[in-house]
Amino acid sequence: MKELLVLIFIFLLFSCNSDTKSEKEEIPKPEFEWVKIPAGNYILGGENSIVNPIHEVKSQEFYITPNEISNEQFKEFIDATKYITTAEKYKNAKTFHVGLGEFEWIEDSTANWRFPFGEKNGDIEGKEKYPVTCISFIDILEYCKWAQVRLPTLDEWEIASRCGSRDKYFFGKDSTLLNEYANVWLSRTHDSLNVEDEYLYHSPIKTFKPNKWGLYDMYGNNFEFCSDLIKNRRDSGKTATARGGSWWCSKNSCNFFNSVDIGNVNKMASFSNHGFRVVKIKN
Amino acid sequence: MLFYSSCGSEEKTDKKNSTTEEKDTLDSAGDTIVEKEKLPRERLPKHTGSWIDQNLDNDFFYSERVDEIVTNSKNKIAAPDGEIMDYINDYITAKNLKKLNVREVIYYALAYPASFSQVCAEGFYDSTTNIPKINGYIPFSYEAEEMSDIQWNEINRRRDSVIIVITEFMEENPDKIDLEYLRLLQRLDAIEAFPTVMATASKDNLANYSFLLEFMYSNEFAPLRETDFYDAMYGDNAYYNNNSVEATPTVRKKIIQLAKGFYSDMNGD
Repeated sequence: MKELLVLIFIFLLFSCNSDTKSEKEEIPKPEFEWVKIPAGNYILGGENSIVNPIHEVKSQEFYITPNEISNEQFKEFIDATKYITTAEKYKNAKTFHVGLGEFEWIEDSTANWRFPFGEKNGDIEGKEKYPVTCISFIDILEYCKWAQVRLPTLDEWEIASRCGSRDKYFFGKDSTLLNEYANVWLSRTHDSLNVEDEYLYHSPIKTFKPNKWGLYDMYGNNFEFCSDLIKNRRDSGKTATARGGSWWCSKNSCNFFNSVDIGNVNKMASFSNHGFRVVKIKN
Repeated sequence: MLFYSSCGSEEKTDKKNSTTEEKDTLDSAGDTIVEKEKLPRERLPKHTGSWIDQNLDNDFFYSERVDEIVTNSKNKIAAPDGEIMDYINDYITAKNLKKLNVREVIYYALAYPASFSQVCAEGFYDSTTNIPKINGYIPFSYEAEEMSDIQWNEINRRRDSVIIVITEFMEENPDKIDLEYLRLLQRLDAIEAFPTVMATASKDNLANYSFLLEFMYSNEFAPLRETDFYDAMYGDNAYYNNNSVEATPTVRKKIIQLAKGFYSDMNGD
């Protein structure tokens, strides 16, 4: 009997060890598509821009994702880590609906990355290929830590968006071409819709034409966070930068869908038009 | 076009205060209508809410009581990079806000905005050319924060008192007019503030002209459309960071003239 108990004990001990071993096995990290951005000297910034004056940058080669990180990609992170986003924890997200005043966003305690416009406006089912949104800068830093990637710097983002162009837009001076490349708000104000606006809010990633280096949604869809701050700006520790404009941005509101402008947002804020793309970390 | 002048008309529950412990040490001293002669003179220390030091003297109606409540209510969170930051939230509940006097409510709402603003909302009042300009819109100028619904609801509830307090301050301290006061008046749709804003408008208070212009624009005041600077401000190619005209004496005089006409029309004169 004693021998039997010892055998059973040894058996159970080995079973536990093999379970523990499999738990310790590394969960595979996500795979990304990458676009190589060549090394070079780049002239960045805009004439008369306060936040982004013209400056020259010597950049090393780097790799950036061709698309904004999608719901599908973000879900991998959540499933692997059980991370709870800022909006889910603090119920402090802000969303939008047609009819609001200019720059008016409303508090919605039910909004988060699973319900970008609040629970009553539906979840992301069927929108796996849409860019993840309603996440904060802090959430994004957690994602990057897990995925072993990083956000682009302001300069890297701009180099990637310009793809060699010195114009305000990567496609040249003709702003009428914007609608081929960017999902933005087509009406003059936000209290009305433009019937030509096929996507009221987000569009799936890679819907619009990419720039000539193969990068999609550099303008429009989501604002994209960057890792550093505007130069010579007092760092309060509270804000992060973002660029490129979003589906909300219109020609007569902020006109932010270009390669020059840089905006600021609180690191804890979760808006339904913010997202990100990532850069490969060098070994 | 309606500007961002009203929202959150319903009282919010204290959903975001579930993580804070509010010490209810406030006496019920809320006043609703404030009469001018009863307003005590307040100490006005600096507030460093703006990073653009252009003609902005950020004095507020200071309240030690509010500062103490906020300090005691602040929560900290740790960002993934290890940085410890304040968690921005409503430090004072809707219920307790009603117990503050109007100056304290203004101070609290402007000094401790409890919500966030959009990435592209930050506007810059001047270009690098150092030519004084008048914008067609009052620029936003803050640390990507703005009043929460709870704060706004209380400000809006005390609308008349808030307008009285701010306009009196502006009249007595024309050299200390802040963009945030003008923005607050704008959100309150404070046509009553027109005489004060006109009187204190000057080459040193160019944002006053923006206030007047925005009001006239949002009310579709026809004579504004006929000016030679209308297109630069509100035309097809104008947007929030590109909508200005040089602030010459002629332009400034014209704006005041228009504003007087607008104010008369609104008052049915």
